[in-house]
Amino acid sequence: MKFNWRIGGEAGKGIINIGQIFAKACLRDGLKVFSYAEYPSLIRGGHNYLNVSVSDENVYSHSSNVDLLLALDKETIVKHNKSSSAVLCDVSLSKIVRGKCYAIPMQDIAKDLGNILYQNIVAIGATLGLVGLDLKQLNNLLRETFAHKDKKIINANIKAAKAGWDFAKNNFKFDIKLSPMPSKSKDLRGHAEQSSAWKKEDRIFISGNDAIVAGAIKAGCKFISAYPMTPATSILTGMAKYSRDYNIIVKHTEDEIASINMAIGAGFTGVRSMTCTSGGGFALMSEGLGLAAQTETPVVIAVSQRPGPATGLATRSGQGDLQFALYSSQDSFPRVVIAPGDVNECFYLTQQAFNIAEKYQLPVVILVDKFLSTAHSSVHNFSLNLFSKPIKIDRGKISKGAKNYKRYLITKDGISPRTLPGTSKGEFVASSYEHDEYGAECEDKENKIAMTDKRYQKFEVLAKELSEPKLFGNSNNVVVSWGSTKGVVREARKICKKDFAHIHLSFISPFPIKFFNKLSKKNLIVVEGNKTSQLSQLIRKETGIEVKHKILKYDGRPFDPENLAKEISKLV
Amino acid sequence: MKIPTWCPGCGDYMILAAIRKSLQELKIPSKDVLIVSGIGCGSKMPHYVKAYGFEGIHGRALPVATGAKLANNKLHIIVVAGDGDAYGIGGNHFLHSCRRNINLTYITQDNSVYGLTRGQTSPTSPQGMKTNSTPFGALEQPVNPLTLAITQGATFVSQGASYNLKLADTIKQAIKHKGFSLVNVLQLCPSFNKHNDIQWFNKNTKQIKTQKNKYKAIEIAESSKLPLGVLYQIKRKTYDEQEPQISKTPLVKQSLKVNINKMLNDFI
Ligand SMILES: Cc1ncc(C[n+]2csc(CCOP(=O)(O)OP(=O)(O)O)c2C)c(N)n1
Ligand code: SF4
Ligand SMILES: [Mg+2]
Repeated sequence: MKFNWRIGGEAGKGIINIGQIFAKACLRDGLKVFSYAEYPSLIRGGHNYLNVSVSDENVYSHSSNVDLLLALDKETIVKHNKSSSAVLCDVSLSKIVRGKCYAIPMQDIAKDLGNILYQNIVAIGATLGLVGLDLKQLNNLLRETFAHKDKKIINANIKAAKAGWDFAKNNFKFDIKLSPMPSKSKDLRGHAEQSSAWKKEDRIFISGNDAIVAGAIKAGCKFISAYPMTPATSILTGMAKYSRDYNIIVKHTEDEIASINMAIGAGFTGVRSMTCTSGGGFALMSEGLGLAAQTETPVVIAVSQRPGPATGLATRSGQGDLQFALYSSQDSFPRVVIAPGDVNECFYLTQQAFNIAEKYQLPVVILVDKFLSTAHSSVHNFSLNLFSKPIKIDRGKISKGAKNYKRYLITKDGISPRTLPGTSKGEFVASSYEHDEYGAECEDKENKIAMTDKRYQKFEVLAKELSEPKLFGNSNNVVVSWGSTKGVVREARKICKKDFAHIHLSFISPFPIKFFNKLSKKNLIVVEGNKTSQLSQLIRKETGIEVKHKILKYDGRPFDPENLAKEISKLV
Repeated sequence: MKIPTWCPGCGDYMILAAIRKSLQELKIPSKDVLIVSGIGCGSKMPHYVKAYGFEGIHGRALPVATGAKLANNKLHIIVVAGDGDAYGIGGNHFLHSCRRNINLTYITQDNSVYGLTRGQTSPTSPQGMKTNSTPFGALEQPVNPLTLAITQGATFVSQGASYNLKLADTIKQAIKHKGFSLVNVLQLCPSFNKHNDIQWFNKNTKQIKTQKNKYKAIEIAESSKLPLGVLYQIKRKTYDEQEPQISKTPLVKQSLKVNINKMLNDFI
């Protein structure tokens, strides 16, 4: 059974936080959960909403269907009534609801408990009552969330939840019922003792950005310099939150130019370092990106896309920076672009990004977007390593120094062992000018060719090391997605009346040319969140294959499975 | 080591000599020295000093050096940049480095002109100076690097001159200073700045004493004669000192192995 819930209200009233508590209560009951919020670029006023999809089966994305809309203000009803099967709201708002309405005197209940703000909790209690889940997990979460507050406040919240729950139980009937997953559920058991029950710690509910933070910390990243920019900011603040626990230096810099240059300085010195930003900040980093390539300094750059150009839609989602990530900065040089498709990939591919950056001594871009950065998914705890084998840290070739040491020695694989400052007989200059094997500025023609080829040689070797993309299903019709659209396509495959296969690209650069060449006869359908189908252009450039069908969306909102399934069925 | 390729009579030769001399006298092993620069005539410096070097991009030497310092606070890091690099394109990084008080030595080669791009006006060009980008005279008032540094929180503010033998001594004091230290070097550029020659400097500079009082120091910085020597020095906690993560072991020496459960517990 799947339940799609939406909570909406005025920005600045904690709607998203309260909705996430509901999502987590479901997680603790063993259910699969996906949540995604839309909010405007302002702090107060304006309209916020959060979708939470709950199921006993895996959920990979939100849904455009709303089984129950929890409306905390009038605007929510005006905006979402039409797309919702039923509305849950305060009695004062019920008059304007068309169709099924569950009206609860939540404001009165809240006022009786001493504060109108409790109405949100009354409403969460009522939601749980409607779908038939008990209050145990919610109460635990309320105790945890308000642990630092007065006991009275915790008790009032618990009472509010109970009042809402009782009201719903006594007065309403609701068709969709959820039940906690049995403690022996095999699917939830992540731990080694297969016979035992699943434990709370086996599962986490995490966003893409937090998964990137976890991946960076796990990879031994010790330095991040960044400048806040939605939707990447929570990578910076996430790293800051854990900086004392994991000995990480976090520098909120004066601008993004400083961010990338500091990260390069730290990377040059031998520390695993990163920066994060969105398109606008990445524009400021362009020259630094080339600097990392030219000096062969490892650096990881997480870019979370939002629609542009310029400030664009600051808190919305899009996939319009693919080509920007691939081509920004002067001349051409190899850079790696990784586009994780879900939170698991955010965790594992971030670790791989650090290995690649150090092993191949080049810049690596992790390209996500607001949808993946902020949407939360329930997954097995990363520390169980069920999604992938643990990623071993590989620091690449590091030299202990030598007589006549050549930092940019031409080698077969293009990789030259690097020394870290502090190493005797390893002194060299990393120069942004073209340089010879020692690192000295050099303008000779032959040297320029040799050094350019050397840098590209590393890339060839890397391309061979990477595994091919995964193909889900077997059909002549193949939907191709990259980045955050992975989950939506997976959901669309579940509900689409017609059969299609699905390829998800997590590595955009180097591009899997051989793999695509094998698909030249297939009916390819590219799905992406931009106007010009940047991936199709890339496929044509790399393989000559002309993608016939493109499903494009550039309204600042992610795809949803229902509409996507409809679009796909027209093309297969 | 490469042989410098500056013009005959260029002040950068003397700045190079002063940097070499101070490092030698302070007996800092070359493996523990990192010279970071931007782009400009003087920014070729890292290639001529036996040390680690990073010749970055125009205007961005300070952030590279800051990242390197935080990554390995055992390194002695000297940053060199031209006046265009330091006070023009890199001006933002300069004022933030001052207030950050990061433990770096910043040597600026102030020839009041863009040398490498062949003679355009710079942020320290005097008003009215004719250059090929201001053929009718520069209209802006010049930056006063010393006043700027003092007001933005630098803890060591000095000025030297490329032709003056005391320069090495000033640089030595700057390296020894704990915190952000500025050595603004009045640099001869016989090719593109004919106005500020040695005679002009001799007439328009004066040796000064070190001040602890900000306002007195600013008064001297703003007086008609350009001060030479350490103008201002105070004690203040450095940025790197305030990070407990690196108080015992530099980041670069720390283990990469971590237990991620502590963080993931927040997502259960
Ligand atoms: C982003 C960028 N803009 C412009 C340049 C061209 N450029 C190189 S050096 C320079 C100015 C050099 O003047 P200054 O920093 O005073 O150093 P000097 O050559 O006088 O020592 C400029 C504008 C560049 N390299 N990068
Ligand atoms: S142009 Fe000026 S600063 Fe550049 S090398 Fe020549 S004299 Fe020195
Ligand atoms: Mg200059």
